[in-house]
Amino acid sequence: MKSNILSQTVFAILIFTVFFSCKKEEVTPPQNNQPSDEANIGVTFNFKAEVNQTDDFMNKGEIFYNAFGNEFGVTKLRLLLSDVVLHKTDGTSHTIEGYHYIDMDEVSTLSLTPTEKITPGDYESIEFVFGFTPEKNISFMYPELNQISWNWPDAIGGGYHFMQLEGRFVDNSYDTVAYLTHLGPTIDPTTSETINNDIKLVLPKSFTVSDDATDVSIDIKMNIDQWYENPNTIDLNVFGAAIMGNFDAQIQFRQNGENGVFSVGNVTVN
Amino acid sequence: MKKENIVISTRLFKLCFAFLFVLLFSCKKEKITPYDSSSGNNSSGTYEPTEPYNPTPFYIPYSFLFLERLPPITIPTDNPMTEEGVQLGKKLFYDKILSGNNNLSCASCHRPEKAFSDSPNKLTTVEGSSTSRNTPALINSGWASRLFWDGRAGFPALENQAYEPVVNPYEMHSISWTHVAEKLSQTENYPELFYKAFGTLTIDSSYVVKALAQFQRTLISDNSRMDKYLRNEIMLTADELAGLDLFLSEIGDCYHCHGGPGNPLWTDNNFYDIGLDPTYVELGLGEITGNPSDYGKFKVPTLRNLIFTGPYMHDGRFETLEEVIEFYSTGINDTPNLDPNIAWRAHQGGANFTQEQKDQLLAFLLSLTDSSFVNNPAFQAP
Repeated sequence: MKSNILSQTVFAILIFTVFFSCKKEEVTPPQNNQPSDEANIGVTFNFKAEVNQTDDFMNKGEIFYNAFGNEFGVTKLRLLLSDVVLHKTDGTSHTIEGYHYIDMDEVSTLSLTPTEKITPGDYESIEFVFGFTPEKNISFMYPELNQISWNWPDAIGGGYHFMQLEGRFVDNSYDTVAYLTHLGPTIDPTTSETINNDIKLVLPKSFTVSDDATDVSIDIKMNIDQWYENPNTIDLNVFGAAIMGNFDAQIQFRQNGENGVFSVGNVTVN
Repeated sequence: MKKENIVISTRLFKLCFAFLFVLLFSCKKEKITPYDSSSGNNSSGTYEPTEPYNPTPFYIPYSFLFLERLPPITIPTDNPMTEEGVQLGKKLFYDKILSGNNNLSCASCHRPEKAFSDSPNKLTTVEGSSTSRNTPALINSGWASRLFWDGRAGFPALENQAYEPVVNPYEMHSISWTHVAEKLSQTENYPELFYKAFGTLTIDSSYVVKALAQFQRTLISDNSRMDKYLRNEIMLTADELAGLDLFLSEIGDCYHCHGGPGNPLWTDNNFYDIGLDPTYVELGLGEITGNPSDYGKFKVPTLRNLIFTGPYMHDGRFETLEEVIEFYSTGINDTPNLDPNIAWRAHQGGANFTQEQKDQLLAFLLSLTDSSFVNNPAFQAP
């Protein structure tokens, strides 16, 4: 008798557990800055890049020019963005946590459709981080990034790469040589302080998502020219290769990244 | 223990086991579907199952370091790992029945004592001749999304890869997969083993490659001196540490392709042109994709167990690790697709290491030797 009761009790607990173990959706407590409406509209971010006003730039040879006048081409572009936030005019926002790795050679990485949904209403800006914030840029933390060797050596700041932009340019000797614009953390040689060097961007963009909308498509654009232009005009003969451990190079590129590299392109509401 | 308690414990145990079984499979989208013998030929002829198809799930024994730093191996939904599948795969891997003249097994070229690569000679065919490619080592191959030096086997790479060597006239040279399946079906043991692994009474190539892939996914190397160092179990020598620092610096600049402490596979499993020849002798990945920007690119091998896996490079051109290091120091050719991580010093032939740096790099590379991998009883011939 005792064993029957015990068995029945255990069985009931097990059935209850099994019944709820497959549940995909969880009830998330509302956060203070979250819109009160039900979020049921999908959103997709599309990453686009261009050089000299063309988006057809990969493996085209050294046919582009930067602000300094270097003749260059692009053979690789990979970067990492994280923590996207969509801000509404009423002060509320939708946060999409996590990172997104982009590789121009892998079409599947060029768009992101998060599971998070958004609400109808008027939006005014899109925020994201180029790279990881210092709190999240922890060495070896992300297995998928480790597997593709996206790590940034601890000796020069640790954590992860934020961007790998590579190709060739024509140097001062008229030789075609490689450049590697690899960006990430850096260490101040005077203070030995680690500068994480991420860039938090808030890009203005006004658009309205109607009540009957089903999904929103947002283009995030990167203008590669701007990495070498403003406020620092960068000569690839100086900051072309071996810049990962170069404090001045990392700081100057970060300053440029804050000024016009990224923008929001077309927003399509369906 | 009282009899009643034993009964209760037994019931509870069964109940818990049933619960775990239900829990394990309740969310699973794909199921292992037994072969329907009524809809096809039972080519095994004599074997009649006496027990229902009931495979035992196999859990890959990841080390803590791998669990922490790497995603788990992606298992194809139509080929879940089972104890029976792994054991069948191992038996097939070592069985010469897969070759045309029954003289060559997978293990003839992927030799366990060589970390599942070949002896100093390149891959040797059933006729005794050599191919142009160096036999790749089978170390942590489950993480590779593409296999072969030129990447022609895409996901699921281990399954897709296995289709080729069995019937390749330059390798095992079986007449056809149909012929191989017939040979297996006519054996005393294989029909039962395939049934237990896959619930099928008909043996065909898809089940053979699935079993081989399951076994190869278990070939994990994670216990070198470097692994122990990263697990804080030992300290490396001064030369090994200096070599690691050089590897992770922009002087060595090896880590962009060959991983590091964060990527203990010691390869990114990607494809690069490293400037082996002044002009492209082989197109590598470019041969497969047809894309000129892929010409001369070959798969990055792991740096694990190099002491066992020589010769080196896709064509086995270098006999020693010293030759490999010298190549990266002074032998780089500035080819059109040469990877920029190497190309920026191509004008000087490479990194121009000092002799001390070369010695340190060698010490570091040898710290990735995992003898327990080549001696693992689970990987040896059944």
